[in-house]
Amino acid sequence: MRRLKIAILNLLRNGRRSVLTVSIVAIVVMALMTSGGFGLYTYQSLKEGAARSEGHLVFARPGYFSSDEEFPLQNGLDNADELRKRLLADQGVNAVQPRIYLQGLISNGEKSNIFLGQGILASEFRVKGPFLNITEGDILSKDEKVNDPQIMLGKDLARNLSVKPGDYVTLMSTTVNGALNALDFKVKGIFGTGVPDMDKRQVYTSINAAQFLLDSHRVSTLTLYGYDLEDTEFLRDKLGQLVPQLEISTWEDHAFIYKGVKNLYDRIFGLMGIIMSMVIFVSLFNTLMMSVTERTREIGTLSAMGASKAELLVGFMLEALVLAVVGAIVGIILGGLVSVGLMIFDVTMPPPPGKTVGYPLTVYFSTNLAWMISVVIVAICVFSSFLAARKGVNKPITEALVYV
Amino acid sequence: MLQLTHIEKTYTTGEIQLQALRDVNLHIQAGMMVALCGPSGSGKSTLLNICGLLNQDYFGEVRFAGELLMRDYRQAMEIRRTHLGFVFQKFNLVPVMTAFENVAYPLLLNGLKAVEVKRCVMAMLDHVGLIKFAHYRPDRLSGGQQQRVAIARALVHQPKLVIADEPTASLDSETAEQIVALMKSLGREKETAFIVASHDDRMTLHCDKVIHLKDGVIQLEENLCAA
Repeated sequence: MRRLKIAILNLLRNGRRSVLTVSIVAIVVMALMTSGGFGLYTYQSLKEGAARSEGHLVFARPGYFSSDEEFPLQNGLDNADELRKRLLADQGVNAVQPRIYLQGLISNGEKSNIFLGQGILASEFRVKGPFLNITEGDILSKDEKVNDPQIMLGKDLARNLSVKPGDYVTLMSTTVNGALNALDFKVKGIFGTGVPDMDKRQVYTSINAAQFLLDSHRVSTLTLYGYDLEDTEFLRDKLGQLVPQLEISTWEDHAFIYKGVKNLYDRIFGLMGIIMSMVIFVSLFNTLMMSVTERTREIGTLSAMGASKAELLVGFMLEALVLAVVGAIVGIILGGLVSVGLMIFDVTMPPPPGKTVGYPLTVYFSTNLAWMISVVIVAICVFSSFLAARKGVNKPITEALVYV
Repeated sequence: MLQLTHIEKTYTTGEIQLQALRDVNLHIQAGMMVALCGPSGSGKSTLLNICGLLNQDYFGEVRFAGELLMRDYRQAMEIRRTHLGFVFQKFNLVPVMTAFENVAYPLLLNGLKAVEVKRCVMAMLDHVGLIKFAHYRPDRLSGGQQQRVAIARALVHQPKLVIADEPTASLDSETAEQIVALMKSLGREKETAFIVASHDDRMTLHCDKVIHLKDGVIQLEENLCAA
């Protein structure tokens, strides 16, 4: 305590300089907390988005994920209903959704376009939540009539075909036997995904209609939703034993955007962290260097009295520790205020490349991140003080005593 | 107690060499007060630094309490910590420490317990007449009071030898007299030897021995009666 008190008093000798140094540390900590918090929010959003879109786990016939099909549903699942029931029996499973991925031509009778479609259950919308922005009409209804199948179109595709809810379009695709099949669909709704390329091609139809169009009883995959993203690996291991004949992939295997963004952000924030650390290092080194130089005679006096170099170094390092800890605490508080401020005041970020809608700027406050940043900053400060003070305490005592 | 034999010291600046001490032999006995006198550049400070184990870059032999010094940093530091005290012309008190803390510093370096430190420091401040100022920082004390604190700091751990460099030079004559008398009485009481570099006659008059230096050579050693 005595040493700490002396360190604080030494810092107060030049209060303005100490306040300036604390401010620099606080600003850097706040910047790292804010950027790191934004990164965490982005990672979490993309993880959840990927898991919501692809499901926590995807079950398919072995080879489905690695090989291309020669005809539709070549690698599809035959007994989807039975498999679905077995998987749903597990208490950790929230929902299991069959999906059929298909493609072909879509026509309004006068004009045709390429489509990429998904055959889904109507319950998909309830399970996934509001993942589409319905601009006109409604979602697929579960009481669809067999002879009057429904379809939802991406908004740019609907505009291209000049159709609106209630109109009819024709889907043409190759069946599992290689024949060309066509089926009329009633436009039930029009949606926007926020991704222009998807809006030009994407359609959703019922699983029954997709099977009818492809002339098959198979489904492409079974998508499983658990209750918690963190349980994914556990569920994979557990359910893998239940259906050993199937290949299982996790949401992360399909989360290419998440992985790409994380990889990019990790590098950006890593580089930013290194630059900020250098700023802290130089700032602390400068402050301590000035302090050491001003107190050279004092160092000489204490050395003459028998204080060891280590004892003197510890004194200076303790001063740096105080500056770093105070700066880190202030920085964390400021970072927290930024997080809270962004919750109160809406700030919308511009749409990212390839998207048409922006998103609310959110910065997570993470205690783990705060600890990590604080420990690194404190370590840098103490190290810089060690380097700055080392020269002073190594000066010959006789020179230090006459230093002016 | 301190014995210097054939001490030679040369300073080198570029190609210029300056011999600061030439074949200096000196023996300081316990409780003795020795003055080093001489004009600027005579080698007083250099000799004082060697006596205080602050400079170990010399030729010759130094023995402290019979022990030969091996020019080892740790050995010198341990001896300075336990057996030496220092008084400087500009007092050299640590400005952020109170008078109490300044005086306590050598005891803390020697690892004394807090209770013992407090007892010793208060007794020492009482000796130098500053017990009321124990919690004052140096900037609130006069020059004389600061030098009293410095003397208390130099003597609190009961060293065998105190090195004093111009201890009265920054003081007015009345205060200087008081400081000299204080050093003398405390030295006698605690059987501490003093080596004092000084131009001040009032200082030398109180010494048992006066050594006159010129051009790095001891010109004259005067044995005086105690004042």
